[in-house]
Amino acid sequence: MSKATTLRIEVPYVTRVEGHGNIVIDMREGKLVTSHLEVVEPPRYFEAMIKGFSYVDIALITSRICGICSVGHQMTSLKATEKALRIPVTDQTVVLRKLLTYGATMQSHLLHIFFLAAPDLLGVPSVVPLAASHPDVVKMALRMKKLSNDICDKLGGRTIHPNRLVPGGFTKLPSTAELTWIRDMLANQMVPDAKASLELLKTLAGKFPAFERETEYVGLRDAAEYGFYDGQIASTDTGLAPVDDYLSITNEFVVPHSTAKHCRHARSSYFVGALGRFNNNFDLLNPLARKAADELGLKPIVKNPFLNSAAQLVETFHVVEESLKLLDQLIARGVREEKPVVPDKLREGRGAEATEVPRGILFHDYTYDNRGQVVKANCIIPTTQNTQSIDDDMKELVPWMINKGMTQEQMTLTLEMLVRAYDPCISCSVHFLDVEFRK
Amino acid sequence: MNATQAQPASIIGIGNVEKKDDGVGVLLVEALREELEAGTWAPGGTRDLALVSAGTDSLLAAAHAASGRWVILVDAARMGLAAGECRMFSPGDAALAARDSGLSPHDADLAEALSLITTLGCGDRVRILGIQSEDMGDGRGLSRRLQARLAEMQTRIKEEVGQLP
Repeated sequence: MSKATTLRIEVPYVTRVEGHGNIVIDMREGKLVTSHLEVVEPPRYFEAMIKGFSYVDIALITSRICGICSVGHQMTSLKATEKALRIPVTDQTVVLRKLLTYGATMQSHLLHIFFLAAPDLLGVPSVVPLAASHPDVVKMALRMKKLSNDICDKLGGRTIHPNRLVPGGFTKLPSTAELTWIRDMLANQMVPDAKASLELLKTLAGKFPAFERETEYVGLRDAAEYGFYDGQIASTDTGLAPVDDYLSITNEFVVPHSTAKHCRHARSSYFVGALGRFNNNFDLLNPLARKAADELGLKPIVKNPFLNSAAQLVETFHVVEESLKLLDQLIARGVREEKPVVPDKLREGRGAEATEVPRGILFHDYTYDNRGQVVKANCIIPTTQNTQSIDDDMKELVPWMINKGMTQEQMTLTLEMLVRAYDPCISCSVHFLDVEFRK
Repeated sequence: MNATQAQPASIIGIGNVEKKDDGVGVLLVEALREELEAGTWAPGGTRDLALVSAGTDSLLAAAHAASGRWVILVDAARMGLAAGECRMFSPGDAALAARDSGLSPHDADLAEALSLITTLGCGDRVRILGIQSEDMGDGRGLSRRLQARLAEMQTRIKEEVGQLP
């Protein structure tokens, strides 16, 4: 890289991501002055909005934080409320929630892999020209997406923002016939389609930029299974920590160039998402997922952020296999008629919980009064946790690209691909500090 | 028509129920779902009929059309009509401004989804019921004029289902 290198890249609206973010790169005489993802979405105020609302409404409201992770927000919200108010749930409820979580994960991952990331690898601007050049691939992707949505519909009552989940259980349970349908479709349609997707991705693996950066990876880890629904907070740098200690992990801070807060832990930033989970749970992958990882050459610690999309496909195999196991158990014993558990008595309490949503670890933390109304809330979204990691990647990626002799156009595309690799929900990442001034 | 030969179909409601009239498609699908579950509507004998509240995920329409199903897409629209008036049309009947690369996880907009459907050659299986909106502001509930015509819209969708092969 020449000491005289001067570079200005501005992408005023990164496409194929959710929300509005700008990339700004400013290099003067070989010195990188600015390398930012600017988040310019307005704050959402959900934490303030739910104050005073009853515990029965909170999950339905907070699921509206996100249209793609609505299931994840509901799960995390319900778990936090149940912990705060000491509402027990049955094993069957947990199994059904896991199945719903896996369906939502499939849906989101497949959408990202095929509709948001694949156009870059295939050299087209969007999925529409891809439908003309590769119609069978797009039809397969749509078929997989439809099945994932159907799973959420049959279990949760809607494809997004499910309406059957309440504190303590489900208002309506799926029938054994519906569960059998899901199992058969996963086994007979999703598994072959996922295998075909793997073959396709293997042919495109060389198109991922071969950029690596050492960083910290964070994700849930459960002793018995790959962390999605439950577990402790795992860090590749510092090991395990209880979910109750999440604030000591997230360490939110504000920066001038972004309305989204940033996070850091053991280093200047950390990474959450498929690679955050993969790098902390590799030993817990199911067999087909492990085989997919092997065939894609993924082995922890994967340090290339662009391979987050490849890790998403590995996870797609994993959640399909996990769903098949749970469905077999549930179908064998039959669905028990259960009503949601209602607390005997409401009392003050606080509950912080986490689940893994497609984009990474999600925290909800509520404090309730003795009427079951929220008095304080905090929701920390995966993209909030990733924004500093994106900035740190850019700091190393820009000199890396210059040394590779890339043109400005190639660099711009690569920077956009980097942001897309994180699969960010930019508008979800915008929440604000709740400030109370001392009198 | 032999009812036993009815082909699979999906009614897909698009929109955001937190944006007043924008949610009319979703509200109509949920009303039809209630009728179906209550047994007050029995469309097409053994027809495999899916009722889908898709929210802002217009891509689901493409997913259903690409799977070989007939699709009736219900969405609020700006068509220059009086509030609450409806118009049934095909993807080829209207010029919709598609963003070429704006697809996002949350909101593949309808124009993009229809562009995808047309490119995949599934456009002839898709019908769109556009409902002229009045108030797309924040909040739940439809504007008075849309609310007043909700039953009429339900009937229009049922008639369309009845005409499908």
